[in-house]
Amino acid sequence: MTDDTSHRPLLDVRGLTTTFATSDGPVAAVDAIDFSVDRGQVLGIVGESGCGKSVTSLSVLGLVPNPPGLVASGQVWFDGTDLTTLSECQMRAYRGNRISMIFQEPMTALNPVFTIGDQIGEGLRLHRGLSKKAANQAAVELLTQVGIPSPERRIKEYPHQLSGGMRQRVMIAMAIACEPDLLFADEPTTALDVTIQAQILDLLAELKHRTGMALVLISHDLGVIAQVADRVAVMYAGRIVEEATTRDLFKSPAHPYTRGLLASLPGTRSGGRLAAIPGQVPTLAELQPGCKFKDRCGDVMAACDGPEPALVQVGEGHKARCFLHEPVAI
Amino acid sequence: MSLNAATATAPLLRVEGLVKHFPLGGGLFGRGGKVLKAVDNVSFSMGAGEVLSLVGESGCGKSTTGRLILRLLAPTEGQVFYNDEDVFAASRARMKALRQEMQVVFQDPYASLNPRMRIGTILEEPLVVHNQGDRQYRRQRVQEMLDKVGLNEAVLDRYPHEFSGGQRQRISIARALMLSPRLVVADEPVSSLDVSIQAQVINLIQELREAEGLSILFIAHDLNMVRHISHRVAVMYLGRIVELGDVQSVFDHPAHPYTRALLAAVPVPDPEVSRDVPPLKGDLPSPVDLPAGCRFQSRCPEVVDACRQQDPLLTRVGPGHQAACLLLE
Repeated sequence: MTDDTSHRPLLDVRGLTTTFATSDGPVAAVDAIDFSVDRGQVLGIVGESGCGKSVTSLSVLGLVPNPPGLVASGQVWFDGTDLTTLSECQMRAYRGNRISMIFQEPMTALNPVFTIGDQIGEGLRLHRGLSKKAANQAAVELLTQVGIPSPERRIKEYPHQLSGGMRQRVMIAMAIACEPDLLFADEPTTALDVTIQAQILDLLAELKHRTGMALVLISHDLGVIAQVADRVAVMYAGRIVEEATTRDLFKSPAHPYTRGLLASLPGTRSGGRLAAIPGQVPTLAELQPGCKFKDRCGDVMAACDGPEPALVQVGEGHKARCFLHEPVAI
Repeated sequence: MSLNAATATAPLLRVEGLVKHFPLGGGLFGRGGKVLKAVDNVSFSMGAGEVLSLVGESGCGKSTTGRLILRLLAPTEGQVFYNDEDVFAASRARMKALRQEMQVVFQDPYASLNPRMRIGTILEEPLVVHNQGDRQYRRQRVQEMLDKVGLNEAVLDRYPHEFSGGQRQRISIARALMLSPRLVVADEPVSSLDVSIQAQVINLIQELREAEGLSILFIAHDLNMVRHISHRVAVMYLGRIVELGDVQSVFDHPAHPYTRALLAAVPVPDPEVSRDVPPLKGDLPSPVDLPAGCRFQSRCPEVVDACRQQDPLLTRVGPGHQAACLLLE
């Protein structure tokens, strides 16, 4: 990697490892992962529950609860600064300002005792030093931008007065208030109905287009990822097991886990059996040495019990962590 | 999957004019208050061995319909016939007998298994409640059912918290099938599970349906899964069925504008397919203050003046395919 700033990605995560203390000792929820996001790009992170996709975003934002969590090693380069070296106070100047986040559950992520206007304006008052009145005005404008009707009335309302889709729009309005360069969206539409999901995904795409912000979209829904992301990282048990452009990933998945995930989706024909992946996601404490997917893998071979395979190049901008793609010396 | 054999015989379940209104209070002595119309005149029937799916967005009344059929909720109006027997008119004792034939699997396998009971006790309980067999028979039946859902006997002495979501859902399914029911209402049985586990549980449900000849009322919002598993599908919107038909006709030739919008909103796991229909605008209106005329008028891209006055009825749009839209009448 060169230090040529013109090609420097906006976010460059190197060897990020986040551990959690358990009664069996520390376990790595996120295990030495690398990824980067360019300006104006959408990176999708896909995986099942417990794969570490949410912990990844919390680690980048410095929001991992410590204890029990700990960002044990790695760097998070954001526009030339390693965020892991910042104090909490310095980090606060980034969070909600240049890097923002929206969460899955819009009810628990909003404070029930403050009005919508107060919550949207908070970031602007803190980071931009706006007066209460100016912040309120900005909040009205933001609500208009995210497509909420009669915003003047809505800013005086409380979260419980809004529907789930409206609350998620409010969350987005809060997140984009300070015009962030990077937005983390952690399962932003999982709690919503499909018709509302389509509205929110359109809104995120439009905002990205208009403001040029980069987006990290975390989801378990391969349909959502296919529609929105430019690149995709597939996570399994704390590891990135495959990374590719969205087109390559869906067209020629290289890792048996990615292939299994795609095959297990119901197709457009009815009937027949689904190609389920056998077994279940291992808990982090019971992980064996070697490849973490080997117990569920249909392509398992002798080498899989040995040292874990490396993330190797399998095509242009396409990497996978599997011995199928790595010459093994026996 | 032969559907014709299933529908040719008399229906196993017949739902006629089912209505459920929840009073919201507010009026003096509870009178004159507002009413939430959760289910508003729903009728359909199901043959033996058939899988019928109820689909729709949250708040459309699909779960309430399932609960009414099982008499877990008292209806405001309407009738449910199981094998031509009026379920709501059944005595307490008769209802208990009917419950052996009609079972349920709920969405949340964390909330639907008693955390203080061992798996063995959970599975045996339906047999105990319905006085079936002696201890030895019950043990044997529990074993048999564990086998069918792909769990081994080591689970019997363990508690629900020791299992993953997918395993718990297998236990819930085993419990529902202990009494060899004819009809199972499966209320979002896979929506809380991971993608790779969903496929396992759906395969299990399919296998058991074929092996036991079950009828399944499958309540779900995942349209791809519905297409995969069902023979027929009923699309609900604000307490009404707006479209009903064979899965192939409804998915390939949706007649109601809502069904079309719902299908178009499902993200396709293929980056080369782009959505060409703009998403529906706005939210589901409140089921408390329903507009006069068609319920879908506020979000319908094809709304005409007549929709504001006339409430459309289900009309035939093809063989075994009905939809409720004025534009089709």
